[in-house]
Parts: sequence; C-alpha cells; structure tokens
Amino acid sequence: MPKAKEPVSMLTVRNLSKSYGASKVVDGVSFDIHKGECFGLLGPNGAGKTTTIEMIEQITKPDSGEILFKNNQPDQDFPEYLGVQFQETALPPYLTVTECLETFQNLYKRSLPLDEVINLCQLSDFKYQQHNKISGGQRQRLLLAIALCNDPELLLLDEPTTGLDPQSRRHLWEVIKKIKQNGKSILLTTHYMEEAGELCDQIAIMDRGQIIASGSPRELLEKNFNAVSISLSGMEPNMDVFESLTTKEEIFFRSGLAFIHTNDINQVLKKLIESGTSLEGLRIRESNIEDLFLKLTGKVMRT
Amino acid sequence: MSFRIKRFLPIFHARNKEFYRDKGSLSWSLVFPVLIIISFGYIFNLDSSNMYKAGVINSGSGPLFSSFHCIKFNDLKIAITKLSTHSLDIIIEATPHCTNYWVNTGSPKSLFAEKLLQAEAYRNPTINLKSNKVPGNNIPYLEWLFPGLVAMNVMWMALFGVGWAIVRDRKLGILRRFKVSPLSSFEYLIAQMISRLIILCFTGVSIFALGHLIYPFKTLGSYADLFVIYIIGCFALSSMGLLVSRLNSEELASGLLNMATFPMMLLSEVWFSLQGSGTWVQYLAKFMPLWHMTDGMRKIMNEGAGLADIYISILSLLGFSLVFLIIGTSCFKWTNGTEGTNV
Repeated sequence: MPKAKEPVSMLTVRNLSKSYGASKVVDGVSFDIHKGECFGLLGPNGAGKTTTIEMIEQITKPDSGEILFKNNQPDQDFPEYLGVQFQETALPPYLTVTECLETFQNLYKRSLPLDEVINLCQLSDFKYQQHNKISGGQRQRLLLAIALCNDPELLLLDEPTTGLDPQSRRHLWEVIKKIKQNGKSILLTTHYMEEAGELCDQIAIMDRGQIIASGSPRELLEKNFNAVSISLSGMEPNMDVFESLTTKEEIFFRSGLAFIHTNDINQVLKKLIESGTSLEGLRIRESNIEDLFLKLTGKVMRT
Repeated sequence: MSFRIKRFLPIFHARNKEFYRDKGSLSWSLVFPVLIIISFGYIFNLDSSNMYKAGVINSGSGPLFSSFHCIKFNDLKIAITKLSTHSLDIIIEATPHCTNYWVNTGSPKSLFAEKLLQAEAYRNPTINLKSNKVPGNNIPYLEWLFPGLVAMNVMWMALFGVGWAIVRDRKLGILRRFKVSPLSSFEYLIAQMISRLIILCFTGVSIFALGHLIYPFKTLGSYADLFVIYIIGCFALSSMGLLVSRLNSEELASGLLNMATFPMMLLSEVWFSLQGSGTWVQYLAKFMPLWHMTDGMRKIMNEGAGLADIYISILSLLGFSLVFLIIGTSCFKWTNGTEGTNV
C-alpha cells in the first residue's frame, strides 16, 4: 500500500516564548501551518497573538523557541515569501491606492500582476483615489492587497477585520476565501469566533500566552462538547433546576444567560418544564467555538 | 548593506510625491525665502544705519576711532580682503608719521566711513591722513544676504524633511510595514536623502529664479561652482537630519532640530558678519555645516571665488556628511520599541 503523502509544513513554531519585564506574554507556543491551510490563532485581547505573529514577522526577537519556514531557519530572503497585514498600519502619505500597491510591489523580486490583485481585493472602483480617502473596509482590502502583491507563500493576517462593520467583514472574508482557494497558507489571528469558524481549517486557542487547545474546529467541538447548546435568559447558578440535570450536561453562565450543552435535548427540556422554568427566550443551536472558549477559559472572547 | 535600485526607486518616488502633493508645504518652501527677500529688500532700502566697522591695524585709540566699531587686525592683507568683500567698511593704520586708511570704492558705506574719518581729522589738524583705495564690487546687503537665505532655507527643509519625516513615518507605523518587506534600512535612508536632494535642487533653482525676478542679483563666480557647493551643502544638512531619525517622538525631534537650527542660523553669518565678534564665536561657527555652505556660496556669488578657493568649506561639508551618515545609519531603527504593548 503506498505511503500517504506527508503535508508540507510551511511554518513550524516550536516552544516560542517572549517576556516583557516580569510579564510572560508568550509562553511555550508551538504549532504547524501546512501548505494551503488557514490556521487561526484565537484569543481575547492580551492573549499573546500579536506578539507571536510579530516574532514570526521578525519584528520582535523571541526569548526562546524556534521558527522554521519550510523546515529551515528563515534566511534574509524570508520576507520575499511573506505577506503581512498588520492590525493597524499607516501608508506613505498622498499616494493613491494603485501607487501604494506599486510601491510595495516593487520592493519584491516576484510579484502578482497589479490588475489581478486589484480585482481579487475588489479595489477597482477607487484605485485612483488617495488611500486616506477610502472607507475602513476598503482600506483593509487595500492592506490585504499590499500583503498579496508579492504573491506570498505564507500570509500573516493580524486581526484583519477588527473594527469593521459586519458587511465589510463578510466582504473581506470572501476575499480571504478566494486567497485560500489559490493555495496560499494563512496564519490568521482573530477574536471573532464566527470568522475562525468560517475561514480556518485549524485553530489554536490562546490564553495568557499559552495555547490551551488546538485542532480543527470540528474536532475540538466534538471532543469538548455534546451535541447542542441550549441558552436561557434570566437564570442564576443557584437555581434548583440545575441540580436536577445530570452530570452529562455542561452548564455555563454569562451575562444572565445559562448555556446548557447536552446530547439529550428531550430530557433537558422535560426537566426545565417540570421545574416550572420559563422557556421564554430559549434558543437551541449547535455548540460553537465561542462556547468552546468559554468552557476552556471561563472568559468571553469579544472583550 | 544590501542595495537594489528596484527597491530604492519606489521609496524615492513615494517621498517625492508626498512633497509635491502637499500643496501647503510646497508653496511655503518657495514663498518663505521670497518673502524674506522682499521684506529685507524693503527694510534695507530704508536703512539709514551708520554703524561702520573699522579694521584697525596693530592698535589704535583716540577720537579718530571713536566713531567706528573697531576690529583689530595684525595682517593688512587679511583686512584688505575683508574690506573688498564688505565685511569691513574702512581700514585704519596709525603710524608715527601719518594715519593711513583704506576704503572700498565699490561700497557706499565705505565712502561714508571715509567722510566720517575725514570729519574727525578736520577737527584735529595734527592728524595727517593718507588715503588708499581698494577696488571692490558694490555688494548691497541684500546680495550679501541672499546666499545665507538660500542656505538657511536648505537647512530647514533638509533637517525637517529628512529627520522629522523619518520620525513621523516610524511613529505612524509606516517603517514597521517596510521592515517586514525586503527593503533594507540603507535603501530606505538613501531614498529619503536623494529625494530630499532632488527637492532641494528644485526649490533652490526656483528661489534663485524668483529672487532674480524681484531683485537682479549679481553672481561673480561660476554657476556650476555655485551648484556644486549648494549640492554638497544640501547633502551635509540632509545627513544631519539623520541624527534625530532614531527618536520616537515628533515633538522631541522638532525640539532638538530647533535647538540645532537656531544657533546655526545666528552663528553662520546668515544675517550678519561675525567680524568683530569673539574669536571663540568665529571658531565655533566653523563647526557648523550651515556656515561652510553660506560662506562657500557667498564667496562664489559675491567675490567670484572658484571651487579651489573654497576647498576648506567643501572638505568640511563632505566630512560633516560622512560623520552624520555613519552615525545616522548606525543608529537607525525601524520600529519605535512599542512591540508587546498590544499582545
């Protein structure tokens, strides 16, 4: 029987650590990103996502650990293969969208045709406008286009949709999906769970500088949760109804809501009705990554 | 130290576009020196100043010298050079037999100083005056001032256009974005410098042309020589801007640049000659690139000097450039050290 082909590792991160003073912001982080994969680094603000990505970008020097690009130490040509979109970045003043792209494109040995990048990132309608006169969503697409203009093998996107309205966010997701289809490997940091679920093949959840869970979103949910999540409003942890539920159910509380994760929905609903609990505002849905994060850390993601 | 012209050019073009698309700073960089030319032209046409500088050979005292601001010279030749270039208005040498004096026939101020001296001698018949004439060109104050004004404008544009602009780019995060590209710090800094040199050439030629329209200056030396010292001066002052480029704060950079520019403006003979000031002041001025640029340009424009005559200024400016470039490039950093604040 022929041996299954090993996936090509584009980026290997091993035991990466970084401290600022007494504060250890990244603590022994390890993960792999394979060719054509979108890897999501999830966590709330302050989890260590940006510092991790800055160490990969070589902006910050790690205290310890190893970063390998295609199983080799990054050399001076590493930036040629890297596309980077920072959380926030400014561009040289008074340049138009096209001029910004040309400026960055010419810094690299290889590049994608400008029209291709403009079309992919949907910048055609304002390509002659100065970059400081376009909207937030358009600007993020421009920054993504700049990250793509050297036809990178590895794309590092640091919270690319933070601060965007839902429509602009979805717009950007579409662009990232197309980039994925083109076979690019992507490292995406985000604190939007929906975004991770929509875009990522693999995720790692970070908290206090450490990866506390990793795998594909489906695997992680199956491993950590029963089938569905029931949410109820106006609930308190000390209510009698929760004592009557079995140990199979996992229950979390947040902002006056109770989340019950169960694979026996009939039994849970029966017990709720028997206890006289009001079912007003009851919602039943599949467990998602946000539930997973809540379970693992006891924190809400969108802080 | 890697350098590729392909990576240098886009940064160079981006910087040039910023300059000519920023209409406010473009017009100000041209209008400011012209405004000064107009104002000073007006002010000095109305000038009725009777402060005359007399070069005194060896020593002198008594009523004959009381009307002048006396500056002692031991070497008559040096004093005559100063007189012919309008740094002095008259030279007086008192000997046991007579009082020799020299005036510049091309300077109205020098001729007035002669009248003043003759009036004093008339009041004291024992004084035997002996007149000597030194041929000189008539250089009005505005013509003397013009090279200094041009050099001063270069100083502002070079220091702030290079030093302050780099600090701003770092603070905004533009440099951080460049850092993750293959662009080297040398390519980035050279692009900033060359862009500024091109802009300074453009503004220098424009100011020269506009200045000529308002006031037809005489340039006794060669325009090519003038251009050479101008470019070398621009390069030295642009390199000086790199010294602050490591700073993180635009406010601190502005403060330090002002701290450097004001003494240079006062001590580089932009507005007035340092003849008569303390020796240490004149010595200190020689450590300022602006002084060498002003002096070199002034010698070419006002005295008809060639590059060989101003080789000390040329070498000094090149030396300053080298030192500033080495310090500036070795201290350069892409980021402002705030990594980790957004973990």
